[in-house]
Amino acid sequence: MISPELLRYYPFFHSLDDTQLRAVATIAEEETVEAGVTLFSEGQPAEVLYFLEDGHVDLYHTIGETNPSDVRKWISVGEINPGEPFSISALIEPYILSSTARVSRPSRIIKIEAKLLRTLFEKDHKLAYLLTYKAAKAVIERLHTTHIQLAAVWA
Amino acid sequence: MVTPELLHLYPFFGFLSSANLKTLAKIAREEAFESGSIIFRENEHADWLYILVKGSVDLFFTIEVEYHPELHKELLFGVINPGELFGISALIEPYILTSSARASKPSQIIEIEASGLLALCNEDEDLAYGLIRQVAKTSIERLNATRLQLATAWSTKWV
Repeated sequence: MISPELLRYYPFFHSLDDTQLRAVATIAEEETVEAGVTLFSEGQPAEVLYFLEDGHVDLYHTIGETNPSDVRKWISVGEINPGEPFSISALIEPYILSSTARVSRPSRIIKIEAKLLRTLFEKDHKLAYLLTYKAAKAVIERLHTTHIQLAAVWA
Repeated sequence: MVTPELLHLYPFFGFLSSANLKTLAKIAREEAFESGSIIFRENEHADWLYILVKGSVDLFFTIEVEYHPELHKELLFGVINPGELFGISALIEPYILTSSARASKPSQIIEIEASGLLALCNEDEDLAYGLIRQVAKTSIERLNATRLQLATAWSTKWV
């Protein structure tokens, strides 16, 4: 469990009322992670929603069969900076991770179990709408950034 | 004319009640676009949600050509097939289109007034949640497809 005031810092939760914020804070945890740790891998079920408090995380996509030592097959598709959510697929069907996340500096993260969040959603459709909206917004912002990256490679 | 029965055919609206479908049909219209015609341009305000009934639509964005600001290059990054939704930025702040869309074949499109749809969402929480789930699903499919293009483009550069 974490303090609701800590969650209030994140724009992702700005539209929640006090009761909703407390409910989400109850199922959230803080964790410190060392550099080099892979938090999750693409293609796996998205079981946790993350927020980066401090540090840095890189997102990768892999091409074809991947041998962990073959770094050419790991393509960077984005980065996460403090204040940003990641593993947003935990809120969006079919709940499958679309990239791999690796911590590039010692980092502090907030973790929210997706299963517990979805249980909250079943009881509170307004909460479900507010957080799914924020998830969709974050995805569209990432889509826009990816367009810019694509333009830079294709130009 | 757009009927509730026509809207009900699309998975995006499959969960809506008959009353909601009737309301939506009143704020929807069907438009025909000739091959090559622009449906919307990036950075414009997103006022409509679109469903492709028949034909094909290319999604693209434009970049400036270095040293020639009067010239632009178009980069195609996606194709909309019949039954698919596009213009989803119309339901997400700041309601600005992130790409341009052009009919690549003669096409028939259902256009739904976004302001009316958002007003419906304000009145009905379950409707709002159902719609936003579909929007989120469509947007993550687009993001995944675009990231795959980016990864492929990068790996091609390294070969």
